[in-house]
Amino acid sequence: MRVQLRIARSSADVLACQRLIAEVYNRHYGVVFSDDIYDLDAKIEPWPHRYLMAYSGDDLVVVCGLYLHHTYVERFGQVTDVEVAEQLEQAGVRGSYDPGVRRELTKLVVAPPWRKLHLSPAIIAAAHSRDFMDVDAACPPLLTYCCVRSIAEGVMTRHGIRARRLKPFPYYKVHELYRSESNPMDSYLVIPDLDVPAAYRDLRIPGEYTLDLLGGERP
Amino acid sequence: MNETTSVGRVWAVPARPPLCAISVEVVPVDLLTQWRRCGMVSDSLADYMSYAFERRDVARSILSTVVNELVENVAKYSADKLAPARLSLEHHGASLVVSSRSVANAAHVGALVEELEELAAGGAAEVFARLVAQRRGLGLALVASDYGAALGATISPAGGGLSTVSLTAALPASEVEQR
Repeated sequence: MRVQLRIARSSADVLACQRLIAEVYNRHYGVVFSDDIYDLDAKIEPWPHRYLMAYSGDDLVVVCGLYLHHTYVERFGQVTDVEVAEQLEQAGVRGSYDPGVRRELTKLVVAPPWRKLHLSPAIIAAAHSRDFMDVDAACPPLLTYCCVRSIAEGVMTRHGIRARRLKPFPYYKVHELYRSESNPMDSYLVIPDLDVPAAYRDLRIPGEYTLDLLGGERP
Repeated sequence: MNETTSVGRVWAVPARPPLCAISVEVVPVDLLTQWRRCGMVSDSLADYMSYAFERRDVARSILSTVVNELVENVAKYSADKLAPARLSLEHHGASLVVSSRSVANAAHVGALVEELEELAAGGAAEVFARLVAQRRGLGLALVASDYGAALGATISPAGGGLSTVSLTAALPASEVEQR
């Protein structure tokens, strides 16, 4: 299978991404979205600032969002610049990154007709591309996620991406159908130059790729 | 459900047309993508109707609150988020009637029927207290307990295990007049 990857640029692109995310998140988690209000206990979530779109022909099959600032882990996960700086220190790259410049991958969804193809691991790996992750960045950003352990330590590891666990993510009602005791949710940090294989960092977007090249169809 | 049924205190549509009325169609996914739109729709309908009242600010506030509950219900519980749903607000003299029509799945219909029957049995305060304790949405119970609204629904089969739900909240005009 081949997919075309591109960044949502027009209002039509953004609406298509938001519709798909809203439909899937509402169906599975009862979540709604807003640009100007959020309340995790009322299940109202903030929208990402950018979107990576994966098309098969004319069909939008996968979307992955990106917060350019005000990341989820700092707003709701209580992760501080000091904690990030400590991680950079431990990794020996203290001077290479500004601990306060962080972006976050979020809201990865697959359109319902395409779910059985297990496209999401390949697309989230591709989302680590410099062309997407560093879009409009003044200096190289760090990357964070907040997700369940099966994603961070399963999907990411399988693609050679190292997700450094920062701390447990606090409990919010909005995640009641997502997290569980056996699959807890944490905040993670990725130091792109150390933790992401060059094949994903250097992936050109827009571009057309086979799923094999992106890391396979099945996890 | 194989046939049309009524639950709760269903508003009996009078022979005379409403004194004032406005209705809109919304696509539920548009509300899910920007939740603020629920308030925009509610405020628009309420603002339009408020000009039928001497104390417009009071009327606008009450009507917007009630309409908003039905708008949010439509957004959350429509089975097909891409299928248009209808919302209306009508002034029938003694009553203001807010109504919505959307398609819902069996699980939601079951929960709605239970809540409407409980409210119709006079248990608005009890339903309200239970929902608070369960940290669930107060929506319809709030409308019934705070504004004395009569809530009811007609439910018709829509195929595929889904039902068309026409939900009405009828408020005494005196609640909105507040003279």
